[in-house]
Amino acid sequence: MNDATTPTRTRPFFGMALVNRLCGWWTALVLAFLYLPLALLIAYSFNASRLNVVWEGFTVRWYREMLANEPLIRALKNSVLIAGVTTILSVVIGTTGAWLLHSYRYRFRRLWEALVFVPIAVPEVIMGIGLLILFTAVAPGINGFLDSAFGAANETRFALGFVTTIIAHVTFCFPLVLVAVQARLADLDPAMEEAALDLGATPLVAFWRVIVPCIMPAIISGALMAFTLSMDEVLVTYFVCGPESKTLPLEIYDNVRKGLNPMLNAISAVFVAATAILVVIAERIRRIGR
Amino acid sequence: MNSDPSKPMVELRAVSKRYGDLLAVRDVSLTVRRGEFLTLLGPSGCGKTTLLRMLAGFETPDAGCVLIDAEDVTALPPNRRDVNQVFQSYALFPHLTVEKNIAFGLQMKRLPKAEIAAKVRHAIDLVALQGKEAAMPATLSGGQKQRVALARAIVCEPKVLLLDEPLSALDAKLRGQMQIELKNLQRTLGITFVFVTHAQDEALTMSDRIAVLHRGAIEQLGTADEIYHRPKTRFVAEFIGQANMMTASVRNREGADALLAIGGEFTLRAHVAAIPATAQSVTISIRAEKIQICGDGAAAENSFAAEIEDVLFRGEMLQLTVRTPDGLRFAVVIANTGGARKPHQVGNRVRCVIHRSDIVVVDS
Amino acid sequence: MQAAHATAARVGGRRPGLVGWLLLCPMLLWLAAFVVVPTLILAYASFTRADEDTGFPIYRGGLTFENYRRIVLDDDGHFLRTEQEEITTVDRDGTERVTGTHATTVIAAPYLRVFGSSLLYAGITTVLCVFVGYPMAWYIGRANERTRNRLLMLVMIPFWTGFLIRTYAWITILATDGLLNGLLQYTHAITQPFGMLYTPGAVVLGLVYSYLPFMILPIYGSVEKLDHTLVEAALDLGAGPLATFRKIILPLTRPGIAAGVLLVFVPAVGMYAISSLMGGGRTPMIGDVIQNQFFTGRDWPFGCALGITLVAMFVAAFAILAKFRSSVTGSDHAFRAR
Repeated sequence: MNDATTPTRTRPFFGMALVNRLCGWWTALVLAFLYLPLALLIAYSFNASRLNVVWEGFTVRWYREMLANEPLIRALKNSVLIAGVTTILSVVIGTTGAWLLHSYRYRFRRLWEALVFVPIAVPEVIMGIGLLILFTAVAPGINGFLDSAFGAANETRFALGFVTTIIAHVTFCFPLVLVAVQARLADLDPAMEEAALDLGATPLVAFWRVIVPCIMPAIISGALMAFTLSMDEVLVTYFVCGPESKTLPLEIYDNVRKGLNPMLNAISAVFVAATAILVVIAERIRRIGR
Repeated sequence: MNSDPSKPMVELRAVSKRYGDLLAVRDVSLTVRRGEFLTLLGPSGCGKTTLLRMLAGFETPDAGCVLIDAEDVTALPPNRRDVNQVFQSYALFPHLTVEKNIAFGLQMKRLPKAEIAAKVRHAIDLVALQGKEAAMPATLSGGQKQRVALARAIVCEPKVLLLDEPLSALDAKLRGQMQIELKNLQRTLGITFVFVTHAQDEALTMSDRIAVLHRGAIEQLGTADEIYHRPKTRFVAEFIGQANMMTASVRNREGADALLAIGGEFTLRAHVAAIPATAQSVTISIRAEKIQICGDGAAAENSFAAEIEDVLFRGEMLQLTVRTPDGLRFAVVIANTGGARKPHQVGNRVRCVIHRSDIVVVDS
Repeated sequence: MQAAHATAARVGGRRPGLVGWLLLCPMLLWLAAFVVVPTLILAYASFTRADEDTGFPIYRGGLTFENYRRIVLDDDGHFLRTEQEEITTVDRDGTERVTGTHATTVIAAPYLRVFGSSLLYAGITTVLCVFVGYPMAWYIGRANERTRNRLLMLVMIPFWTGFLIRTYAWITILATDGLLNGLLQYTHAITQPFGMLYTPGAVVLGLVYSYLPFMILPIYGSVEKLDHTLVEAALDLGAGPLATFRKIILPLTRPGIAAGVLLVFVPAVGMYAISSLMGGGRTPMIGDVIQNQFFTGRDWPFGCALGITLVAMFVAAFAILAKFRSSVTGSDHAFRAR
């Protein structure tokens, strides 16, 4: 951006055009920086050689190995289940929360809105230890209550597992839905709801038949964001998930720590492809609503 | 519409509304007759929209009550009032077709499907939108959206139709055309219209009566003719048309007339039945187009010599500023008959005449 | 709900009735239970002692400042430590000679130094992200809508892929048996593979790679909102591109930069996996240290104290930044009010 020293100084519009062109090249470079590692990752997932830069032929062996890896498939199932439940809960809490905060002047509204941002703003490690220490602190109490309520026959125990993981995921996913929906609501003509009421709809009918369809793109893209984040998250999940609810990213994390392995390339390639598809769909939907 | 036709359709009784420190509507009482086209006219922030929203049910007055067809609806939510509104932004539901937008209100009333279809078809005919039934609102032009919004409201056959600056988003030509269409529609349907606008031409063209609002209160309620020719207050005189406002002292009275002195020596004879007998000083309004310019001829009643100080070309008319030897300035609007010959030029000496009944005394 | 509507004012302005509060309750309770309460327990636990066997906090065992003392002071109770350093001079013939000693005062507490190095890593990452991301955000913001949407999508895809995959991608490249070493050996540029992974540079690279989209997106938001006629007006009034950037573009996109700095710096400080995967534990960041207290180290109260210290630092940073931002967005509003 320091081309001001060139002779173009007296022709400012040319100067800005040059700046824009330089920025364009820079953008191409940065995109290469972002995508080259991912491209290599995917390319070498089809390389027949184990750990070699030399291409020794095309193979899908690593993908077959991946599909045959039982812990991995179990972790995938866990992740899909957790992400599915998380998405549903996040959409319900986030959408109603956004609508209520948008349409009512609550006492301490700023405080509530700030509180919603805390899970987004706080470092994951803090959230992880906070929830871990909460769950371990309340576990004896809950289990004592369960035992006294159901007697000796009780086998339900509260421990780190699916429930705690889902709670943690909803806590950082629903604010994303809420923010997305709130942005959409802010753009929405306030007369839209009034028109529905004016035409005889009750507030509830107006919400279902007019407001929800109007904000549907934001709800869907928020839901996809929640699902993706829940599928990808490692740092918080590491603290709150139990042995039987181990998610796919945690399984991958353990594998990565063991060192390089072409099967990991295969998993990564699948992940990148799935994420890309979800992001493209989310964007399409978001834009349709515009 | 089977209620007593002698009773007013809408009645506001001493309503007030406050937003924080701002008194948006102060103690307004107003009745709207059955089948009347009433316009609430005023600058932005005068309380006209708040009044309309109270009729629709979006706002509840802090004091006073709202009656629609002799029923007190003050505490009734908007969905249970028999009024419908055309919104400034139209507020068409973007996810529904034109047809479904229009049918929305009827569906809320849970009418049979066949009846809804018939009514929707009729409404579409009425606003001339045939062929657009399946279109989505985003694909319509401004004028078409306007018609859908109108059809959606009138298809419910409300007792009162509320219109919140519905023409403000249209361009000037379309606006003129829609003014005529709206007025015709209102005559055909016989529905009571309450129309909110800040544009005086819309108010003067369409209304049976106009309520001019200022700072949350009604300044004057009357026909277009009354509002225009007989403004009661200084605000009304200044807000509508172009008027010369002056302070005059009453010199002497001769029956219904009085001699008014403006400034020092300058006097005008006025028909002033309305001036309180004791008043020493009054505010008068003289419409710019009521001052006639007649060359430099003989002295008639209420005539004075002046010099043209400024001429503005306004198309069908000329706007002049004339200055008397005493230094008084008058704004004068005359028909632009000039063409090749230009009788009115800066520096010309002219004679101005004002008919005595054209001098209106207003409250200051 | 109908009662609420009888008093309805403009949207966003009506007061909630009982139903309005009841509907908001699930969300507020969720936030209270899983955000507020954990923070309170965390704060409390940071003042407790650890159970010798499990590392759990002993909640009823009395309170202590010991955990915080361990963060701020070293084992001998010192806050600062003086280190003697030899000053060596190289003679003309290449021999080194000690010509004197030099005393440097450093912070003694090892944990405080980890905080320091975490802040340094996160700071370097943030600065790099600003410089790498700004020109790109500018270009995206100024591109026509089609290009803009495509570029945004390209930025978002790695952003949503999750840092684990992205980190692994770099490990495959940088590892001793990785692609880069392989390539260099294959082309006979080197004979022995050299360690690129497990260096501070690798950690910074991993952090920049992971957090760059967090910087680009908010800056892009500011650039897109920027009225381009302002730039043209500045150029028209005789400012060169550099002056225009400094006086017009930079101040008006500062809210985006501030948001980006926040979005990169905060998670970068607390990050633990990238540093352990790409730094190999040789360059510990505070996130790794905290995580260790809960798993390998087994001293939960001390981990809590480290966490609370980290949060306190962020709250202070937020407060400063909020002040800074409100003064900027104020002028931003003035521009948009036109």
